Amino acid sequence: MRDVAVVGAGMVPFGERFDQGMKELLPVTLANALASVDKGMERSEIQAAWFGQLQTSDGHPAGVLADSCGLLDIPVTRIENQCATGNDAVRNATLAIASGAIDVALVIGADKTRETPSVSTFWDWMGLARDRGWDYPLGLIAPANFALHVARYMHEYDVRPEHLAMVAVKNHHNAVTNPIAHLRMEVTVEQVLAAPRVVGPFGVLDCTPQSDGAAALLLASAEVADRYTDHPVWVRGVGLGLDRVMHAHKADMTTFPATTKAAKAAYSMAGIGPSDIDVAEVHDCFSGVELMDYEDLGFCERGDAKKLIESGATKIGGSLPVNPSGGLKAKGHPPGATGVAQCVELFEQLRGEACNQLDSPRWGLAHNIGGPTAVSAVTILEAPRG
Amino acid sequence: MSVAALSLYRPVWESRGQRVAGPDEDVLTLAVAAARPLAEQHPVARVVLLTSAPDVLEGFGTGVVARALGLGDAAPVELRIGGADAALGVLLEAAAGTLVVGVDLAPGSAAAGAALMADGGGILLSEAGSVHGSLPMRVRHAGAQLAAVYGDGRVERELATAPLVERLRGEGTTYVVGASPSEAKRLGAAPLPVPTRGPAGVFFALAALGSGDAAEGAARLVALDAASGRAADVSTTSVEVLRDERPGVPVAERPSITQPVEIPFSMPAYARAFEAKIGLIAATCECGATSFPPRQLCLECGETERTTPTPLARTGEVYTYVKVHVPIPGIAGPYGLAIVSVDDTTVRVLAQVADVGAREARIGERGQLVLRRVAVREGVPDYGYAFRSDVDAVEERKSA
Ligand SMILES: [Zn+2]
Repeated sequence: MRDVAVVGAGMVPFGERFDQGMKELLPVTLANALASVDKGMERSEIQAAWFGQLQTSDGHPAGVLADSCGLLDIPVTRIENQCATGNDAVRNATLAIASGAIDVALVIGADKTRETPSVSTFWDWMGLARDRGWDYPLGLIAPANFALHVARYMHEYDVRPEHLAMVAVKNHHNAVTNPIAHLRMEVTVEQVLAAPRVVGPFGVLDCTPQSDGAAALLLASAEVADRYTDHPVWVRGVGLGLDRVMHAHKADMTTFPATTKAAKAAYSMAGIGPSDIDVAEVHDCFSGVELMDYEDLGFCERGDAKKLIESGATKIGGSLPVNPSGGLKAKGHPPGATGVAQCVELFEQLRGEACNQLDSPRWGLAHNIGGPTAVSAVTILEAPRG
Repeated sequence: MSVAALSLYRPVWESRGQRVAGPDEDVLTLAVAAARPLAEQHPVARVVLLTSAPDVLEGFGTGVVARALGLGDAAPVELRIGGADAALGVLLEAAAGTLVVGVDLAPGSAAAGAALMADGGGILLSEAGSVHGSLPMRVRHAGAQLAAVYGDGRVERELATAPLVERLRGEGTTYVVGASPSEAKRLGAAPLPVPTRGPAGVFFALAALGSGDAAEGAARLVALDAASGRAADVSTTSVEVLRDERPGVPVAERPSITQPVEIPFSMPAYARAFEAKIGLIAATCECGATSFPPRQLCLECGETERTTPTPLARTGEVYTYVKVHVPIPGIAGPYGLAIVSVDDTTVRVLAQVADVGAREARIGERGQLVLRRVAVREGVPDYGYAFRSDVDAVEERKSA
């Protein structure tokens, strides 16, 4: 397999984008990605595109991308894999280039979660991910889907609500200095704990906002990467993992087996382990999920996530900064765009261009877990050589 | 004819001393709540469900009742309309092995009672007369929310109840159901702790007579509805009475639907899930592994389609639990979701928590899986099991 490089990355600010539909968001995002290419890239040089979108808005996703971005003469494939959509799109494009079939690919992810009233959003989303006969009528909404895991996790490992709040405080803090973040405000542990309750251990400030947004990466084979940049970021590992779709069929809810499988595949492909990672953008749709991610991704032993967050190691400046962009929690979460945007952040971090720049990281990891906690995607990127 | 055993159920919600059904309770679930404890212990040949005001007329789930009670197709379930007098009539006429269920759903009198009939033993019932009159003091048309009421209780007493009780009165102590306790007292009847004037009241009356509260020896039970009445001589023999009546919780704490919304419904998906979901039936593989909801692919051995249906216990322990505080359109909230480890198996069940507001659930807590109307989707009631904790939150609050 050939090496694959990220040669460009761009996005639009996450938030409520009532003024822009898919047809407006996508071309702007593509233009931003093309503009980031050091030596320039023409739209016509893109040979294939993968479009990550969870919910359709403005109609047939692949067609809308091709039509609105002037990509009518290349194959466009829509990827939908719940919240793992973005990193799965990265994976598909990477494998296509690695295989030798193409040299230059666009990965773009976008969603507009605010296109329908929030009252119907609950049922729309449940309709995408729940069995119509069994789980759907019970009202297993997205936060409950994760909260059932986190409640058991907290019970088994004596994790306190304060530990969850520390995740929210950290990620909100990081978002303040990120101009494309949806929620750019500091919060305190006390505020998180006192916020109105949503589901189980999660209050409003433990939850991701509903965001609109889009993000794009331009991938190129090692053979042609130097046409575009002298500082390519390398896609070293991609992994996708799955798990049982019904909670009743999951044996141990204190872990996400989908994550451990995706991580194992990505680490093995990259030839590295968790201790090599210098920066991670992980799925923190709800504060407590980030703690479980630490363990499933191998950043600490089972049950030790609370010690990791207490130690400050995952803050900017710590030994393993997690979600320096603000994460889903504060940067925002338009599901199709989320994984791609994580890679945009890592692209900038690994090239020394990030808004919250870390001290010369070499290895970056992006991670999503989604659907009925049944699918996870992990991407591992390496900094430019030398 | 005799009553071998009785079972009584009242919803937990209380308003001015009276009980009110929960948002996930209806005639069907109240009937199952009362009948299930008897069906678990005794063979049942037939079910007669009597209520004065069915909430579903066409498409009433008699098949849901049969499966929730664990009965085969050989035990028919019949829905009848009638008041307290009709309920006593059914009890007098039912064959041995019949499970007679009376349900009242009206706010303020929500209750259900069930009786298992036998050929002797238990409470002996014998016919003691009937009167078929007509005094339409209350008339509610089908589909109408409110009844037209002739608002003069004295007229009702003078023209209907007093003459009726006079004609049906026995030699010994006479008890009346179908009238308020104060009205019964005014009519010269002995007092009985009966929470409703409807058909369920007869079962509560029999339970009182069969639990030593009544005077020794034979009693006359008169059941009234408007100007009709039925009377039975009742032996005050002690009989097994199963009671599911928890201390009341103010109805203000009852979950409610804040925003109605049409929840999409798929009939084929309902049909595929039906037998397992309503019967609480898992799939057991030849290798011994059990799954619920039933799976084609075994969780343990990976083989497909080697399973046989296995009814699950209705008891278990909470593996994990969350309360949903945020209002969800179309679901009465706040509501709870629990994953329950079912007794005697490795199976876990995802279920809503019953009566949130009256009782929470906690990880490790034990409880029952009870049939509830989980949702109404495009007009179709969707039944399933909810977890009801054994821990009584009211008692717990008192002792705390
Ligand atoms: Zn098996």
